[in-house]
Order: sequence, then structure tokens, then C-alpha cells
Amino acid sequence: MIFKIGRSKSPWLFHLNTGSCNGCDIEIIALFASRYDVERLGCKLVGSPKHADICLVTGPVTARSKEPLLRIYDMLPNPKVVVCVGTCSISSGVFTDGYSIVGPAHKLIPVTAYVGGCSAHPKNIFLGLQKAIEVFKEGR
Amino acid sequence: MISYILSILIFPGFLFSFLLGGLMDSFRRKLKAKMQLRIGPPLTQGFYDIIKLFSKETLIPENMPWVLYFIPPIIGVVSISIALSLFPIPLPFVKFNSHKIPFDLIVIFYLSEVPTICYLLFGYFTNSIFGQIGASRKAQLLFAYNVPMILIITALAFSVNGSPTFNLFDLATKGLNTTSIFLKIIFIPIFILCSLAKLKLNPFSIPNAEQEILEGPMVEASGPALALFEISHFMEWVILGFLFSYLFLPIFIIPTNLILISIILICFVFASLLSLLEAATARIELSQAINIFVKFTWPISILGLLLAFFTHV
Repeated sequence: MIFKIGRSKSPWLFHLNTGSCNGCDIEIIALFASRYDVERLGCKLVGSPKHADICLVTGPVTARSKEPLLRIYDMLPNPKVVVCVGTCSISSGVFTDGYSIVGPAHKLIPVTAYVGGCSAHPKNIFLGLQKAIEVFKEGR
Repeated sequence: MISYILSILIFPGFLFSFLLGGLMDSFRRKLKAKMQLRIGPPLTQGFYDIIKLFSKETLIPENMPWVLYFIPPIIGVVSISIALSLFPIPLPFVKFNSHKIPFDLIVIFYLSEVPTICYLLFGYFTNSIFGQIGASRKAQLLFAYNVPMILIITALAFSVNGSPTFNLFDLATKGLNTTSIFLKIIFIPIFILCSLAKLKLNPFSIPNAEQEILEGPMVEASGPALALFEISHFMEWVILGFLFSYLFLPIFIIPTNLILISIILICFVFASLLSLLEAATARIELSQAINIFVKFTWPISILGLLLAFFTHV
């Protein structure tokens, strides 16, 4: 019970770019600015995946970034949740069937929530984050 | 004996300082958010973080024995609890810390450095390149900020009435002459700069730079080990707040009943001061930080020490 309260109030985020155009990354940074301030939910953008609870993946997974994605997923300590941000990370978007694309993130790792949009709106990322926190709270 | 154990575990020691330090750190984050026109986390955020970290899995790096992974954070918390138990806090109803040690300030100072040593040893033990860079940065910064810290404490010890003393209670009660007050006013900015460096806050957040070296020595820490490091960080806040109130403010001239409350208030004022400086500045390079310490704080503290020494004789 007490762990559930702790987890729901303090999700630490790790931001992972797997070949994104930087659009969604900027929107994630906008989440931490004064308008959408997610620090009021206890979120903190951490540098090391070993500290993180929620991984925000942006971009289609390129051949170069497949191995780092799998390694970083292994580095996240349990319980962990992955959120795909942006059209590219849901379906590879305009890069589908590209020669260097190994597919959207859900082909390689389990994903909990998807946030659409090119680039994803901070409000939608916020809603997706809330869903992810609900799942993370249960410790799955 | 029992009172000593209680003072380590409960009152000025572990439990009290964990609660106060968690509030101070959350207050710092809240205030920083307010200065950046944000809402910020609640005041209980530090405790939520600790609870969550204890519920997480521990991932020990492959080439690191588990003993080396858990021993540094535990030693850090234990040593800083012992350091806090030595603070003379006069209370009308509890007699936990009635013991008196003649040189307790030196013991407090060195025990409060042990978590920092553990922090940088952990960085070296992890075999991670980021951890080792962070640890080497912390080690270099350690020498830059500890010299003025030791010098100002020695100068204040020489400036008291009567013989020089390193007892914290005597230092706080006898240091009310003209030289001492003049030195205290000069030394407050130096103490605050050293505190910023010790707490790894913004102009001196060089060892744990999140964006460059992924939080430095903490890069491989996860779960309970990280939680223990966070707890020792909270307790470092309390130790510096206490030292600030004992060394620089005349807290023993107010009634005994109000001393504890006033110390807690001073701790929060101290946290807000550091938060203001943290929000107003950006991270600087290691060479610039060492330049600041060597060119400004070392000469001022040496001059202060000489002044205290000659006026004392």
C-alpha cells in the first residue's frame, strides 16, 4: 500500500531517442517548463536509465538504435513502464519500410501507452504519462 | 549508553534529520519551481521518492561485488547519523545528548565528509566511465571547498573569548565579541559557497551533471542503494543548516524552549538562500569552480584566520 503511494507520486522519467527528428523531444522538454510542469506530479527527468521508472521512447527504431533500445530496456529496474511518444514510435510513420528501420518500438519491447501526433502535443504526452503512472503504481 | 544510541537513531540523529532534511530538500525544489513560474512538487516529495526507491529492483553491475555496492551507502548514512548525534541541542524535556566532547566540531566535520568519500568511492567501484569521471571531479572539488571550510572554522575557534575552542557549544556561546562578529559576517558568503559545492547544487553541480555524465558516480546506483544515498544527502542538508545556525547566528541568546524551533527555521532560511542561488546560476566548468575557490575564498579565509589569531593573542 505504502509502496503504491510512493510509486504513484514519484515516477522518474528517462527520455530515449531512437531515431526521432527531435520534434517530440522538444515537446517532452516543454512538459517540464512552466505551462505543463510535470514536476508537480513528482516527475523528474533523470540521466541514468537505472534510476528511471518510465521510459519515453521517441522516433522509429533504426537499425543503429535497436541494440541500445534493448540494452536500456534491460537496464530499467522493475517495475518499469514504456511510453511511445509520437507517430513514428507508434507505427514508424513516414519511415515505414525504410531500409534502415527495424520497426516501431512495440515489435522489440513491451509498450504500455502510446501518444499520437506528429509531433505529439505536450497535453497528450501529459495524459499518456498519467496512464503510465496508473500502470506503474500497480507495480506491473 | 541508551541515551547515546537514542541520540544516534532518533533525535538529532537518523530519524529527525531524515524528516527535516527531506522537508528541506523538497522545500528547495518547490521554491526553485516557484522562481521559474512553475507549481513544483509537494513538500513531501523527498519521502515519496525514498519510498518508491525502496520498492524498486536493485541492478548490480556484472563486474562489481554486491558487498561494494551496498557498503558505501550504509557507511555514509551511519557516519552522518553519528555526526548529527554530537550536536548540542539544549531541550527542556529530553536529555538525549548530555554528553560533551571537547573537540566535537572536528569530529562532526570529518564524519560529515564520510558520505562524500563513500559517494566518490562508489563511483570508482562501479567501473563505469561516467562514474569515474564524476568521482574524479568530486575529488578535485572536495579539496577546493574543504580548505576554506576548515580555515573559517579554525578562525572562528580562535576568535572566541578566552582560550581557542573547537567545542561547538562553547563556540556558539562565547563567540560574541567584535572580532568574531566581524569575521562571521565576512565568512557567511564563503560558507554558503562551500555548502553549494558540498550539496552538489547548481553552480557547482559538476560531479553529478545529469546531461553530461548521467549523474556521475550515481550512474549505476538503483533501488535501495540510491535511496540510501538520497537519505545521506538529506542529512547533509541538515548538518550544514545546523552548522550555519551554530557558527554564524547567536541562537543561544534566546530562551531554551525556542532554540530547537529557531534552528529549524534557520535551516529553512538556509535552504531558501541556497535555492535562490541555485535558480539564479547555471553549471560552471570544474576549472572555473576551482578558480573561484582558490582566488577568492582561500585568501579571504586565510586573512580572516590571521586576523583572528593576532587579535586573540
